[in-house]
Amino acid sequence: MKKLVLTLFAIHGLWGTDPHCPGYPIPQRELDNAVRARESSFDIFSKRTSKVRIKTAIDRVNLIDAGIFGKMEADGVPSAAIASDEEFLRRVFVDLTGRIPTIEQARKFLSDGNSSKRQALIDELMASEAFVDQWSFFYSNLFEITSRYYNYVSVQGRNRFNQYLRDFISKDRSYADVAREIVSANGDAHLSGPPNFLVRGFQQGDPIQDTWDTLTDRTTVRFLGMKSECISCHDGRRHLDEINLYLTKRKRQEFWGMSAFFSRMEIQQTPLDSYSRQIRNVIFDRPNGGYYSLVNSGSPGPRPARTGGPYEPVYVFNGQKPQSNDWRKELGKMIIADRQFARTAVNYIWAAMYGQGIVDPVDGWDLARIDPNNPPPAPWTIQPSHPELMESLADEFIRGNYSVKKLIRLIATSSSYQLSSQHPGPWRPEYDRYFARHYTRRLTAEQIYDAMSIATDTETPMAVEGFALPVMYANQLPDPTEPRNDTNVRNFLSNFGRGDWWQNPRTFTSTVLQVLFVMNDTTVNYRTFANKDGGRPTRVATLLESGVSDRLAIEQLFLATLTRFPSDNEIDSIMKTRTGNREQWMADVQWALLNKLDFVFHH
Amino acid sequence: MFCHGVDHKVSRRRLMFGGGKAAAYFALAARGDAETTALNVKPRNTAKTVIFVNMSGAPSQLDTFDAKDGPWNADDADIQQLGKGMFLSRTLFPEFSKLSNDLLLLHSVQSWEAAHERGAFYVQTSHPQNPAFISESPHIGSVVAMEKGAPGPLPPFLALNTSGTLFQGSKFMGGVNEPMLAPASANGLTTLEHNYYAAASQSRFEEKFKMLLALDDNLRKNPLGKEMASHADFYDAAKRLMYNQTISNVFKFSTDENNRYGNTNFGRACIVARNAIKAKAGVSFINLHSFGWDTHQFMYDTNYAPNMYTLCNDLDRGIGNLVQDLKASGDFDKTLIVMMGEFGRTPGSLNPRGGRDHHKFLQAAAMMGGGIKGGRAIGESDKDGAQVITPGWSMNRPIFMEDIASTIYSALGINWTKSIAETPSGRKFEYVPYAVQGTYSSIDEVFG
Repeated sequence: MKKLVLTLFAIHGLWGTDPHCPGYPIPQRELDNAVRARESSFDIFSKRTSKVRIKTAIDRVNLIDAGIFGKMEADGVPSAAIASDEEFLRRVFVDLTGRIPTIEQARKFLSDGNSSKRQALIDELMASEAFVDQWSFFYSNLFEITSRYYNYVSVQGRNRFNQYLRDFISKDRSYADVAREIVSANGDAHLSGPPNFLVRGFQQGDPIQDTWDTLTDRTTVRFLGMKSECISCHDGRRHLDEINLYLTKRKRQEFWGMSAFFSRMEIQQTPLDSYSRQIRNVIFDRPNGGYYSLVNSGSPGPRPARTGGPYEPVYVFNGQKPQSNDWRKELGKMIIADRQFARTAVNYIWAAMYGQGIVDPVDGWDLARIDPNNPPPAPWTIQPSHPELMESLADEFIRGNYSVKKLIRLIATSSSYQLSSQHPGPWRPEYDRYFARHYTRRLTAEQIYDAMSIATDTETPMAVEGFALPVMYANQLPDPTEPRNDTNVRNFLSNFGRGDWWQNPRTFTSTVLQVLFVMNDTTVNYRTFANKDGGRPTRVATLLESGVSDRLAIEQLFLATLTRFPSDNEIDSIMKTRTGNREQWMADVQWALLNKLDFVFHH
Repeated sequence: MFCHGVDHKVSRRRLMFGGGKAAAYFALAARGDAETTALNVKPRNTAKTVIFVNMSGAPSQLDTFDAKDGPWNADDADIQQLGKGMFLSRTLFPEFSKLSNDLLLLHSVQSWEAAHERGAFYVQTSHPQNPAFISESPHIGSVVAMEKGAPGPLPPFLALNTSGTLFQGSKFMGGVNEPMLAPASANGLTTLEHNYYAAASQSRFEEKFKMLLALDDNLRKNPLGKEMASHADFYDAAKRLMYNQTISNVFKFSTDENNRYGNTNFGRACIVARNAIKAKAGVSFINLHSFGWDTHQFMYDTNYAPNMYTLCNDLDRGIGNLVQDLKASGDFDKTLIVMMGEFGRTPGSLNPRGGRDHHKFLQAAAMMGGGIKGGRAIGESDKDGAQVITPGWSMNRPIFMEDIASTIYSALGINWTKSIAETPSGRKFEYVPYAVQGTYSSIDEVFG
């Protein structure tokens, strides 16, 4: 106890100079510690002594289920049931293709009596072009190569990068090859995709070290699941002590060692017009040099002064040094040989499919807290919710030659992915990390937009700069600046938090403008009416024309919009609340379904 | 999780002024109540609403609000003395030139930043852009919204003409303090009503809404998680904004008005700002973006866009007309207008490409209305517009964004030395960093 008090006083002294945490009074600190203890309630809950083992009757299809249901059973956590066909259908379409099924696709699946139809659907979707759209879009979001970034990433470069990712997914290339190629890319960013990753890290007007440092952080976030920018300014100690145990022990000098891998890289820039609005970027390496600390004192950049050097590259995670003069190539090799690379790749995909990562947030890995055989000192807890499962998934990913497609298939076919989002209860907040029910979140901006046009049968072409053909779906847009000539679509997508791949991250928060938009925007409403102009009738127009019964019409609207049949109650509600003629109330039903919570949410 | 790191940038900012009052502050801290203690300052409470004109791109001080004789001036600059130490180009600012009694120029402003992204963040929040705290540094407008409340029916924080720019929202302060990024276009805010069914629009909407509620009844009672529950709440909030003439009129204007304000995006934003203030619809902070001030080259080349003529004229026309209209409606005296960018531009003669580059040691700002005593300049810069020679205010050092933010809070009756202890990270959020130590302060000299 005495030691504890002394420690607290020591810490108090250190922090005393920082007004953001002024002299942290001990009572306040104890209170906050209690809050933190509640935050780690998952850990406490899973270690409670009063556990009663329970048995779940759910099939274990693969190693994922062994891990997920094994832990649930051992910790006495009841599982949700397997999702209904309808629930599964919508989920797997949205996750694998970014879109809801068409009414025909839905009918076909729901009326199929074959017991292996879920597997068959997964295979079919994974072979589709829409799968390439969705998963290249997923990686576009990870790498954020947007041409809005001044004029450095050109539209052409952005499109090259987009095509590069499409090839990676459609050809099921090794993700390790992609990582290696991106980190060690050379050449003209107008002519090939990978160099644009490096151009995206360019820091205009700052010393070149800031470009190297930024690239180092961008690389560790994407390939190693770890923000390292904190130690790009200062040592971890006294800064990250309560945030990241591993990074607390890292020094700024070690960051420079990582950053040194980029220190021979040059970006040769040639203006392509007299006003420098377009710039050609060519990436190449100098044969010598290292990470030096000298900067122009007139523009010292955002980071505190650097000292010493020049520094040679050292891979901080294992102390390895490059074996050749091509430092970025060496870095690429070290990253893909690092087990953390596989874990990170797995966890990003897991989070996309389950709504949250095994380590969450996905870019906050703490390498000192991932091994259950080597637990961190209290009060730290093991970071992954399922550490053993994470390791077996990493093994599986490596064995499968870093195929993201194989991993996605493994997840999609597991029972745990196919759990319902409804839980029999009583629900406890700790159950989230057990994946005891499927996590519900708002659809992304692009998903809502696409679901809306599919539901109402009103897909509309969108021109993209530099594309030969227009695209029909929002997840085919190569970056958040598109479609540049369609303000309405851009407004829609930014309203729903698409972000800009730059300062504003993607958000899932709800706002009043979102709700106003879907309820009242004329282009959204237009889709709900019985319109035929433009050559293509809307869903409601087709239904009216077809002369089906009221009940059948309602059924079809539900199936097309919510990927499910209506309940008797729902049909009753509509019959009771509908007004006006057939054309009017049918449009009203379509409108209500687009605004329904289970349309806007992914579940 | 907590973050107990020291932000070096901040530390250097503090150290530069010395820690004179820091000792007293840490004495407070040791008592254990520093988390919530603010200094007993006297906010001036001279304004109901603030219009912050964000001159994005960093305007040149010498070519805007700190004009002086020099070979860099265009031949047609027509620089006039409008008050003590106060000069303005009548060519660039014809309307402002008529407002010499209202306009106050700040000639001793300095920035901590010289890069746009960091500078934009700094101007919007008065905090340094520390990656660890981006998510816990709300926009000044959100702090104002939280302090002044949301009497409605409009949200308290409006952001107009932000289109596509980097804009900091309310962050941890939540939904109601989030800026409403509303459009300012001839069509108005079109989503405030169903634009169909003519006279039956509202009744048709009500019928549809009733059907929606009936169908969603079960999910509203048993939402699948917190996110769904909060989304459900917004339907009622949205409905309250709808079919309300007062609200929809705020976003509407005539072609004549549009032309009078210059027929520019900025001008339209000014009209909506004016409408919002006149409607007394619960708005306390309005952010207006004026773009294109990053004039590295050809800044006086009329064939090049943007150039100083169009930039200054558009600003001048939008704000000039706004002031005129607010005077007519009697709201000007309760509306504080602040105009500035993220930093200044290089002094003296233009660079070889006919522009000016980034410069953080001097910039200029302007204020009007809301208790401001105009017709003069505060502070003085050297002959080339490179640095401050006379601060001209009680702190006897250059003015920083932190001081301007304090002044904005003061004008709205908000104690700028306050802070919030309950942030997600557990680290205190200070409205204005270091203000509680007296390092930064409201510029009392600006008031009448």
